[in-house]
Amino acid sequence: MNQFMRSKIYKSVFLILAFYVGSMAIVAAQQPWVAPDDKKAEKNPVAVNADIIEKGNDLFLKNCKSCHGDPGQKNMLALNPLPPDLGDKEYLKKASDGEIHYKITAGRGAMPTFEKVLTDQQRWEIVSYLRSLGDGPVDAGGTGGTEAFAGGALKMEVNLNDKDSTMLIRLLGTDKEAGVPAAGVKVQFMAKRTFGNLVLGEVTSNDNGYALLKFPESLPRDRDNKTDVIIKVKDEKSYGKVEQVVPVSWGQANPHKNLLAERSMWTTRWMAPSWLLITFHTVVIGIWAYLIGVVLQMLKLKNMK
Amino acid sequence: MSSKTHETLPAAEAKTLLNKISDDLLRPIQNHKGFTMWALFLGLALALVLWAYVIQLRDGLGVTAMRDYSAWGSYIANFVFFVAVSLVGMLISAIMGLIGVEWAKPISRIAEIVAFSAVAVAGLVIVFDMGRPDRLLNVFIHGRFQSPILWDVTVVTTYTAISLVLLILPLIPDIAIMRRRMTNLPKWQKMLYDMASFGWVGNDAQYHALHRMLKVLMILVIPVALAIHTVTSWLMASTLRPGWNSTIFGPYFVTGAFVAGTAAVIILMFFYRNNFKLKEYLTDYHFEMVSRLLVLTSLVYLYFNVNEYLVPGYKMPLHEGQHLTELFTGHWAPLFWATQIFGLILPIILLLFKPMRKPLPVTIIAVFVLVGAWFKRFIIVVPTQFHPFLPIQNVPENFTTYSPTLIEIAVLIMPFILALIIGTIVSKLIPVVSIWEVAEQKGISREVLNQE
Amino acid sequence: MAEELNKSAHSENDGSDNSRRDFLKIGLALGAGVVVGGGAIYEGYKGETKKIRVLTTDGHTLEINKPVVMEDYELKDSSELPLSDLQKRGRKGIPGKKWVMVIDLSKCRNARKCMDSCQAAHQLKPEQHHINVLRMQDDANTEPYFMPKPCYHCDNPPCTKVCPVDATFKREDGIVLIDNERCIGCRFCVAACPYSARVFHWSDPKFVEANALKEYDIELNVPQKKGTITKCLFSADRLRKGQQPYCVEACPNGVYWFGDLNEDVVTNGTSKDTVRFSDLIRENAGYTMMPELGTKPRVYYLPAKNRLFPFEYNGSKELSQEDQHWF
Repeated sequence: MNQFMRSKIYKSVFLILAFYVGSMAIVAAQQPWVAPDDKKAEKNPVAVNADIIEKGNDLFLKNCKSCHGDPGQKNMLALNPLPPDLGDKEYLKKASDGEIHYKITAGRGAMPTFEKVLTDQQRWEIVSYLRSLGDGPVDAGGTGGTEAFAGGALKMEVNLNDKDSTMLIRLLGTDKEAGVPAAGVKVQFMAKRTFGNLVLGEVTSNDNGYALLKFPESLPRDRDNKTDVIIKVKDEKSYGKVEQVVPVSWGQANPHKNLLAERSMWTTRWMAPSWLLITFHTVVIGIWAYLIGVVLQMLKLKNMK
Repeated sequence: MSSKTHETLPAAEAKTLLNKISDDLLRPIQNHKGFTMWALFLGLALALVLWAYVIQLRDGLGVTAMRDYSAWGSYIANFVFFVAVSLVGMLISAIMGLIGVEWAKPISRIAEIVAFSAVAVAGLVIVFDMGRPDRLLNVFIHGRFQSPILWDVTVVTTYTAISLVLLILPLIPDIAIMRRRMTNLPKWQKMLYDMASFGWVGNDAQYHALHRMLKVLMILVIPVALAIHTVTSWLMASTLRPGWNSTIFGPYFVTGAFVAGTAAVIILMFFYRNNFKLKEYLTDYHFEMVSRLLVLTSLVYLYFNVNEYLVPGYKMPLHEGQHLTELFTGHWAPLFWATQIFGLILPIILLLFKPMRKPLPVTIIAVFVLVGAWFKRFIIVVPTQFHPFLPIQNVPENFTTYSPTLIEIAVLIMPFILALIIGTIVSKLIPVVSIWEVAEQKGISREVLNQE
Repeated sequence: MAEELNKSAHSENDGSDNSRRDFLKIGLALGAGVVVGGGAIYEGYKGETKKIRVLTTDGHTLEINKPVVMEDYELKDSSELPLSDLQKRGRKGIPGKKWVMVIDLSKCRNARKCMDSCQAAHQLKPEQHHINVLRMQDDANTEPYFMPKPCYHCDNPPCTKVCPVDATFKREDGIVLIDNERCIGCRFCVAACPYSARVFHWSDPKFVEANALKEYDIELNVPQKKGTITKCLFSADRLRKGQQPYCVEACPNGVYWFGDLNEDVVTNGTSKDTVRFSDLIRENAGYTMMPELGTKPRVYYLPAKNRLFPFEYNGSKELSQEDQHWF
């Protein structure tokens, strides 16, 4: 057998092996993920309304978006296999409620198991939210009264009460509905923080268009000793952007303490503990003075009679 | 200093005796037999290790076997070793001098030579270990008073200075004698002796001043010497690492240092006794006494060893337990037990027998003790680092072991060569046993000693 | 800080001219989006105190502390500044902040995106980790878990204690930084760190030639230098720009929370979810690594309870023999 043939045989053996291993991997990866029939057939026990969809949306943002991306945007993470676009209408047409719920619960491969992380109710809320992205009509009942103020015909009045740290918001119509209180509109209060906004509360306006928020007394203020509160109408799609930023000096003082102002072993050299600075310098100067004294005397030996 | 008064010999007899003493002790300075070969050897060896250091400077510390989980290796062990050896100067010339131990007088200069050459290179060893030796001055410009390294730099510098003065000061009367007796010297050497004799004529005022200065220095050197090795031990003890986080590291290191230093002095005594033909001055009696000293220091050190290993070994806390297991029965066990048995336990046992305290046997034992002392420092410094609190993961295989590379070993040898060079130069310039102190012991009066 | 206070107190006593200039400075800070949006109206100082009043959009007056006045160089991009200013602001830190990180062990599945992103940003070699995902197990009968380990930026840092030249130091905002222009390479800090967070450049770092003329950015520790130390910096360069650290942003699994402890709020790097730090720690039994050492770490862990993924490494659900050595 000559060199050429031998290498050819090795090559073909290698190729066959490689093909075999590779195809196994592909088979494993492409094995379709099928939910058991009984799970597939499960119906969503949660009555769908706008609140539930919103809750589902929130849960989606926290738990799903990091891999699946924004629904319909196809900006999912480049994993293998690719996480499906959950806002894709075709996908939603094919997948039953029970199937989506099963997959969230059980997980497989890169898809986490949410069984212990989310409650059953929460998992169904995500299903409800996803369903609302599909073609099927979704009952959005519940809150009502939205249409009248749609398209930005809404203004917000803010009243701050320093005494009990509360914010009273009133939502009133503008344009055609000028002066008419907007009822049943969800208002979100958020504190502006370094890397994101902290939700302080969500309040639905009452029949007179009022929404009241009690500011959490335990929240520290920012480094300028104030807290910027963002007040906004949550449903931007229906009402347009209705938002205000109000600085308040409620809550706790910012606890900033400059660690570097104190003397310590770990800080810069002149901020060393006083006893250390004093001891070190006294001892070093003392010993060297002593030593130099001896040397000076050595030089005087010559003159001793 | 000279607490005992000696019987004074008649002047004529004293003069003959002094002639003999100074002839014996000054002969090695003028006898250059074999010196050229020795100097050539030292020079070549130094060039070789310097070349290794240049490679390290060029390529970085990566040429050593040190990595992130053995960030301190044999260089630091080397540093601790040299600091340890230097401590003997304080023990023999200061403590014993102050107490007035007569037999220690002829060997106190040997102890001072050991101390000075060891501490002078110790400072250099630390520079070999630096990743950026070009920034050495930063230590003086930006030095942090909270850092044990700054304390170490301070005490090493101070101890070097004191050791030098402590070496020169008791030399002054000897140099005066050399000026008078050694006439056929090269010009530079003559000038050097002229300068270093500080106008010594041996009057009472000078003697008085000399003894007072010596006393001051001997007292001063004790805390400084203790500090130098205690602070060196704090380089390790000031960390939270299992195996280093120990409160007895200070005395543990200091007592270990006395063992190493005494062994070094014994070896040097043996060399001088044979090569410099000083059998009459470094007698069997001196070896007997210094052997006893070695046993004493070794026993104290053994006691600290028992404390250092037995107490945590009894409790076996998680991480320190793993470290101790590796030392007692694991990867480091052969080195650990060899060091403890051949470097400490066997020497103690052997030296209990009188024949073993004769010059040759005790010197052989001292070699074992000294080699053991070096490896003991290695065992203190290196294995501990492989047992951090959190696992060593996601790093290459060579991060999890340590055995020095050839270049590292060469750089490691450099301080030994430098110390030998310093020692050689010193013993070619001065008598290694003090003429005036021996003369005083033998009852030669000051008048005879300082006669023109 | 003390210096800063002195300076502002001084300028206030100097009369109206200086206070107007001071006001301009505040205006700058306002413009930078630090303080009240658009409609803040200056009303003047109230006597000796450092309070100022602002008018909100609805005509409500509000008294707030005088904003943290920042030097010009503190907001600029690192490429625009000379070395001296970079060093100065890098040593000082970001005023008024106290950074904190929370690592949720129940979410980590060893994706190592944090390690990759960090190594790329800081130009590290594969074996050099500012952040290292460790395989941990506390006991033979407990479940193994993955544990990302950055520098803990301790408030009682053993590493800065031992540094002989102030080359590693703690800043006002809590970050333990490194100045590799000063480091002498003694590696005492490596020996002193009980968490093995420090890395030494034993030989030439990456991109030596490409970086030859590059200005040293102390907050990124790039260019890296042979014979000096490097370690996790909480991505001080990104915090300067108001962004979260490299590892935090890169994590696909929502492991990292990062924020300002003074504000008691942390934001998740993956979901951008923003929560109270104290709530997160309380509700999930957060802890710090080996508090008994007294190092006071600024990084908190949430235990690996109710995990999203089971432990799996190299196809095994158990720790390898070698890794088991550590408990």
